[in-house]
Amino acid sequence: MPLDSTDFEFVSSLVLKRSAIVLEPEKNYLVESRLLPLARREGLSSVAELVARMRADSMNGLQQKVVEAMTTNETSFFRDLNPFEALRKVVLPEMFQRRAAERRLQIWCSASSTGQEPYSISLILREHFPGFADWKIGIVASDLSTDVLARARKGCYSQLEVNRGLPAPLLVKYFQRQGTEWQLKEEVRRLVEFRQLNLIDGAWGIAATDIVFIRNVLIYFDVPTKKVILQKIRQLLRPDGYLFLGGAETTLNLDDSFERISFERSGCYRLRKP
Amino acid sequence: MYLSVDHDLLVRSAYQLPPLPQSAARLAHLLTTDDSDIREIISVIEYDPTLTMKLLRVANSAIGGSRHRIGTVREALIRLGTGTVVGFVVASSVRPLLGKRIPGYNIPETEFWKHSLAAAFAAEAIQAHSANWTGRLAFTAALLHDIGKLVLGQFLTPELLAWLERAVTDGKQAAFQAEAEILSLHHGEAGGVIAQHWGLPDSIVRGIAHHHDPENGEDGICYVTYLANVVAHRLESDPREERPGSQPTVLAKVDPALEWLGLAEESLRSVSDEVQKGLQALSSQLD
Repeated sequence: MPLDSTDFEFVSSLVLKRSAIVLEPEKNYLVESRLLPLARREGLSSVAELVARMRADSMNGLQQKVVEAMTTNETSFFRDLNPFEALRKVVLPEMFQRRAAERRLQIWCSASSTGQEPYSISLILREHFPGFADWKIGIVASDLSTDVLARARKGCYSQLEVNRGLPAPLLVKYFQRQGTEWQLKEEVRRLVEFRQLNLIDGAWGIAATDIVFIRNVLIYFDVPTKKVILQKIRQLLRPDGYLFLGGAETTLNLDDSFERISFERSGCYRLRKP
Repeated sequence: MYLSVDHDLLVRSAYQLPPLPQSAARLAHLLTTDDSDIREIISVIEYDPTLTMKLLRVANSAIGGSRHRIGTVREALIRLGTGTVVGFVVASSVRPLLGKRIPGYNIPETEFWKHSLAAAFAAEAIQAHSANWTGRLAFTAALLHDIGKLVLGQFLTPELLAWLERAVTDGKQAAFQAEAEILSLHHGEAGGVIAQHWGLPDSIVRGIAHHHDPENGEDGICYVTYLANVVAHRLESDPREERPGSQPTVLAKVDPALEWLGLAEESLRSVSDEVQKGLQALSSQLD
């Protein structure tokens, strides 16, 4: 049953505020199809009831679940491609030069889900920067969900998952066929350490980091929480480090400490010099 | 989390399809290199007497277009071209599969086969007219472009079908966009998995996986399969993807594909004529 217009507007305003994603009225069916399973899991019989519960109490956690249901896209290897091109062509060469004396590099992927993002970074390092194999390079990959972390640690992917975004030469070189799935080789997996981490927890336990990936994550949080998260990132990011957000995300109006750096087809952020 | 399709189950289901005969996959791979030896192609075909007989029958039909009787595989290859011959070999192998009723999508038995053949002939004709693209795998890729429906159709419950219908009518989505939005994958991707399972060359896999979104395929063959699918739909009197208020494939934009392939829009009429000719001459040969 289609959502009535006031309920639809409530949901679309919430999604717009949190994620900048616009839901036109024609997308009523999409809101219903995404929220119906959520309503059922909450023991409710309809999306209208779900919206009523959200309206009644904004602190019951439902708003975050609704935003997640409306905005979650499955992760994939080299998702959006351009940030990884920027990493390969500009950011990593620059970092390797700057860190030549200490010979170490620390990268953090937040909300790494089933692992394709941190493993994409590891693949770039193995494929394009083999000369730095003796450096101390660590990729910390974190997520709230222990289930996805367990999957990510295995580094085993279905044919559909490797078809999405993974160039065939990398599949052949760095994966092994295992039944109907593809197992990522140990030389790629060992660069990544997976940890459970809740971004709204007090202490993250993340050391000083050179490159932070927090892509399509801030969209799930309200403005005050986004500001707190960016403030904490500011404290752990090294002064000349880089911050990568999702394509539609920005630090604008959230944290003035960051300035945007543009690349050919993408951008990222760096701390402004004092 | 959503109303969607379990990707792992879908991949396993794809792997349960009968395998393609090794000869068909081998022939397709032989076409991926410009310097493939015609003798090797001949020997793979001649190894199977039934296949040889079918090929000669096709070559001597109106498709062959020759008054001189063709009596050897070599002559058939010269007359029809290696790409078309390999396409016929694959068509012969998959005919039992493509001639079935497609579950979920409810496509009747003969319709799916006719649409697949129409797209294959369209691809061959498009390639011949294209100023920018050459290749020998387009016939086969276009023949198999909708193969993913065989597997994805098995997962289309009445509830999912109802959501897909709403995405098409209310959301004005094309059918494959509705699949991607509601199911988190579309039949092109499912078809790509089948083609990989069958050991077909990467170009064919891409042509199938991206026949609705060629701009993402990183291979010119995707524009060929895209356009071939549009031409095939335009020729059909009762296209399955058409629904009132939807974005029917017949109205899909062809300009980007025409531009990429270096084809004039007027050429599409000749392409359609060649499809009609091919369908009339061939479909009985492969039944």
